Amino acid sequence: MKCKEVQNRIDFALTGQGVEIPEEFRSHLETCGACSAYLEQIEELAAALESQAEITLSPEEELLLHQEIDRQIDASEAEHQERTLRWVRWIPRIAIPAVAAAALILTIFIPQKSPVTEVLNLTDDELALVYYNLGDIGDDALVQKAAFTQIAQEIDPLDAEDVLEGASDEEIRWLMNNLSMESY
Amino acid sequence: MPDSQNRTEAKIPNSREEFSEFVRQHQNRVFAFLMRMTGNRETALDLTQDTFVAAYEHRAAFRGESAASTWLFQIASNKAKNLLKKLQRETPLDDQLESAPTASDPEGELQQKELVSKVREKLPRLPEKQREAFVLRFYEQMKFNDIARIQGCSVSAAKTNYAEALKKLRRHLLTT
Repeated sequence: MKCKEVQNRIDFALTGQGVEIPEEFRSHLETCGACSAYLEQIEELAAALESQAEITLSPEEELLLHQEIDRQIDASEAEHQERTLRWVRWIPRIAIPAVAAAALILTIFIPQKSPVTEVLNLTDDELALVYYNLGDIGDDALVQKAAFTQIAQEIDPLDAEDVLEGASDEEIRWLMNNLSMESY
Repeated sequence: MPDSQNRTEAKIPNSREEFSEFVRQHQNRVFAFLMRMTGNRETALDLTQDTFVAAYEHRAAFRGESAASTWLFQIASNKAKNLLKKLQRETPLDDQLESAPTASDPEGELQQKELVSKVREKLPRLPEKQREAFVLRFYEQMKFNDIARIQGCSVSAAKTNYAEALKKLRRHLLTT
């Protein structure tokens, strides 16, 4: 067994509770003068360090510590609350213009989609009327409907409203603006 | 081994009342550690306050991966490090150490006092990392992996720091 190894074990066996030497090193320590002297020095050092009585707070220091901790936490929480409130106060100033700007951008840049959500298919008679006046205009129900509306308006404007039963005014306007008889 | 060292809290208390109790459980160990690191009672008290305030403010960051005491020592160690860096000194205000009480030992008191003062003289003058590793191991009986966590280094580096400190203290004891 090497002395270096034993001394290394002595170093790491040292704590504030003394030096606990593993059993397997004891026989070496009994026969090796250098290692037993080393252990003695370490024990002496440990005794000197241990004799530094336990460091504790005095009652006055403890009181001061708790008061200061409470004071600092109170101050920190108040500051945090103030910061949050500052944000809350800023929300109307920031959010309202932001929402208005976003709405404006959406209005300008997003293409308008057809407001037509539902197109009712024409009856066979209505479709026959369209074919009679315009010929085959394809299978698109929306186109067929628009065409029929236009024809119906030419025949009798009052009938046109009945034709697009269920369609809103906005839907009718859209159809009228976007589809014309000339395109067929 | 101090009782609170074995206690592994899952979290740092949220309520102020419970937190005060938590402070009471750990205050002396944190204070003693900072006292040994800075060598100054007043500074140690200030840093103890700062440590607990920081622990409360950042309580959500504690995930219970280590004992709460290890986490506290980590904060305390950083506080001490920052202060020492700020003061730009490797040796703390050791004059305050003189006022620390010693255990009474009527037999061979003089020789023992001499020995104690030798050690006291040297301990605060050790390089910061070595002093810290030694204090945590010797006085707090911490495991090296906890010391490594506190020091932000590998376990072998923590062991080296400790062994270096011990070597220097032993040499100082022999030569002076």
